[in-house]
Amino acid sequence: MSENRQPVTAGGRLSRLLALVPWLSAHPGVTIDEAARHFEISADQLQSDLWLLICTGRPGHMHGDLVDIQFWDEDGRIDVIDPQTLARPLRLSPDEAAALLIALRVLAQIPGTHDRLALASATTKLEAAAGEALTGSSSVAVALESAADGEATSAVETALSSGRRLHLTYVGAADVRTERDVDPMRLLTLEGRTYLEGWCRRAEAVRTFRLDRIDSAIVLDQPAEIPQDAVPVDLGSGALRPEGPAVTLLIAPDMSWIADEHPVDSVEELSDGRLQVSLPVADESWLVRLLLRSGESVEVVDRPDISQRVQAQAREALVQYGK
Amino acid sequence: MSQRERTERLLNLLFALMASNRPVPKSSLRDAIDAYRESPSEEAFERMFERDKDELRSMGVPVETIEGSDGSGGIEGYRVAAESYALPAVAFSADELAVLGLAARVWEQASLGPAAQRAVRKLETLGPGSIIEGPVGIETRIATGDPAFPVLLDVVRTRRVVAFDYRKVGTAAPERRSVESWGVVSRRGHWYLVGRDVDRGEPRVFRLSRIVGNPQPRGVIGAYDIPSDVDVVSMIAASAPDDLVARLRVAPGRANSLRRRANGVESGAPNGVADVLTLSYGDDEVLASDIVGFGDAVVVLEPQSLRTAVIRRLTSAAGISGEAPV
Repeated sequence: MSENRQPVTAGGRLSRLLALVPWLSAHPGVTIDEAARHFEISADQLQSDLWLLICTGRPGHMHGDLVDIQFWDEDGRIDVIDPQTLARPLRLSPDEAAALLIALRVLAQIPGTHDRLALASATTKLEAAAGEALTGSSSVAVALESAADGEATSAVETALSSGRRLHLTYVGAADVRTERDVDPMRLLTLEGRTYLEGWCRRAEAVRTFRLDRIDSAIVLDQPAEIPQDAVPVDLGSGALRPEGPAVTLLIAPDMSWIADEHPVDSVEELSDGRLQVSLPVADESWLVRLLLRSGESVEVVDRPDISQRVQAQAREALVQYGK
Repeated sequence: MSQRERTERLLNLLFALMASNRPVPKSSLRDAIDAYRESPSEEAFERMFERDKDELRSMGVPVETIEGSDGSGGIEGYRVAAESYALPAVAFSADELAVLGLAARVWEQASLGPAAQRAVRKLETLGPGSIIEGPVGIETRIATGDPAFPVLLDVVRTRRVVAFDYRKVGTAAPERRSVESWGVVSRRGHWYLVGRDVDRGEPRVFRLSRIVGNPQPRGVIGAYDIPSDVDVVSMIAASAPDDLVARLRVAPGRANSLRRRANGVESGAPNGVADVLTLSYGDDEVLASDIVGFGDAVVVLEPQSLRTAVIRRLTSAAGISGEAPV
C-alpha cells in the first residue's frame, strides 16, 4: 500500500506536504513518531518534510509570511503555529475521488453484515466533498458475479452477524458435494467473486467457500469457535493460487484464455504461436475437466497419466452416445 | 535540480498564487520566487514555469488563467482561489471513515491504491480522529495490474480518442485500433474497455490484458460524447439469450453446477438411476463446453445440435482426431 517504496517525485512529495499540514493542525501535540507512522514514512523523512515546510510561505518571506511549525522540543511533539493558506486539505483529484467512489460501489454490491448505513452516508458525503472531480467516474464499473442462492447467502450473513456456526452443503471445484460445519470468519471478494472464509471443523483449518457453490447453509444454535491460531487468508497477490504442484501445458491460440482465467506460475509464447504454461493444480479431477473441455487445443507435457485419464473419460462418454 | 529544491519551488509558487484574490502576473511570479529569479534566461524561466503549472494542475490544484480585461486575449495573470483549492468542509463520522478505509483497501496492490490512500488521508482530516483499522467482517480486493489501466481510466474521463495494438483471441499478430472509450469495467477479475471502434464504426469490447504496449491518447479533450443510453456493464455480460431448451441425463449427485441452473429435474427417470434435467440455454457450443467437462456423468438427450457439438468435442478430447471413432 505504501507509496514510499518507489522514489518519490517532487509532485508526490508536495501532495504529502499539503496533506501533512492540515492533519498536524487537526492533531495538535502529536509526536513525530506517530505522524511518521500515519503517513508511512520514516521519522527522519518527516522531520525533513517539516524543515522544508518552514522555509516556505507567501512571497517576501518576511516574518509572518512563513509557515510556522514547532517540532524541536525534547518530547518530540509537533505544533502548527501558522499554516498560512494550507490549513485545509487540497480538494480531491479525479483519480482520488474515482478510486474511493468505485470501491464504495463495489462494497455496496457485496452481501454481508457491514454497516450499510455508514456506507450510504459515506458515499453521499464523498460525492459532496469531491464535486467536479467525479466527472466521468460513473463510466468505471465493477461487475460482481451474483451469488446464486439467496437463501444460502442470507444464512451466511446471519451466522456472521450473530457469531454462530453454519452447516454447509458445498460443491467444490471437483464437482463433489460435501457436508461440513464451518465457523464463519469474514466475507471476501476477490476477482469478482464472493467467498465465505471460515474455520472448517472437518478440515480443522481455515477454508474459503465460493458463495455460488454453497448448495445450502443452515445456521446452527452453537456459537462459532474460531481458534486463536486461525490465520486468515493473505489477500496479497496469489491469494487464489491453488496449493498443489504445477502441470506444464501447451495451449493453442484459440484456448489462450486459460492462461488469463487461471492463476499461472509462468507463461511463455512459443514460435508456433502456442503458449507454454505452468499451471498449479490443487485437484487433478478439476484439471481433467478442463482438458475434456479443451479437446486437442491443449496438450499436457509432463503428465502422461493425466492425458490418459482424459482420453479414457472421453471414450467412456462417447459410449453413451453409441460411439 | 534536486527533488527537495523542486518541491520547495512548487510550494512557494502555490503560496504566491494563493496570496491574493487578484491574478498574479507572470513577471511578479518571476520576481517572487528565488529559483525563477535566478533562471539564466527568459526562455528557461518560461519552461520552468509551464512545467510547474502543469504539475500543480495534475495534482488537482485549480490554477486559473485570467485573461486581461482589454479584450486582446492577453493573459493578465494566474491565481488559485482559496475556496476552490480547499476540500469542502464535509465532516465524516468514525463509522464513515471506517468504511472509507475499507474502500481504500479494495485497491491494495492495485494502481489506484496510492490515490485511494491519499484521498483517505485528506478526508480523515475532516473527521473526528483517525481511521479505525479493525476487522469489519468483509474484505475486498480488486487488481488493476494491466499496464493500460491508468491511461484508459484517464481517456474515459477526458473523452479523448485512444489508439492501441490489440491481440484478438486465436490470432498471433496484434491489430491497430482507435477507440472512443465509454467505460472501463471489471468482471470476474478481468478489466474490459467498452467503446466505439472508430475504424469499424461500431461498439466493441476490448480486454485490457490483450492490449499490447501502452495505449496512446490522440487529439483533443472532449472529442466525443458518451451515448446516454449505454450500459457498460451489460455490454460486457451480453451473451445469446436463453431461448433454447436442452434435456440432459445426469448421474446422481453429479454435475451440480448444471443442476443449479436447471428449470426442472425428473428424478429417477427413465432407468431408475439417473435424473433428467431440463435447462434453458443460449448457445450450443457454450453449453457443450460445460457438459463435456463432466465426462460420462452427463448425456445430452436433445436437441440434436447440442448432441453433435458434445460428440465432436469428446471425439477431439479422446484423441481420435476427426477419424470415425472405434
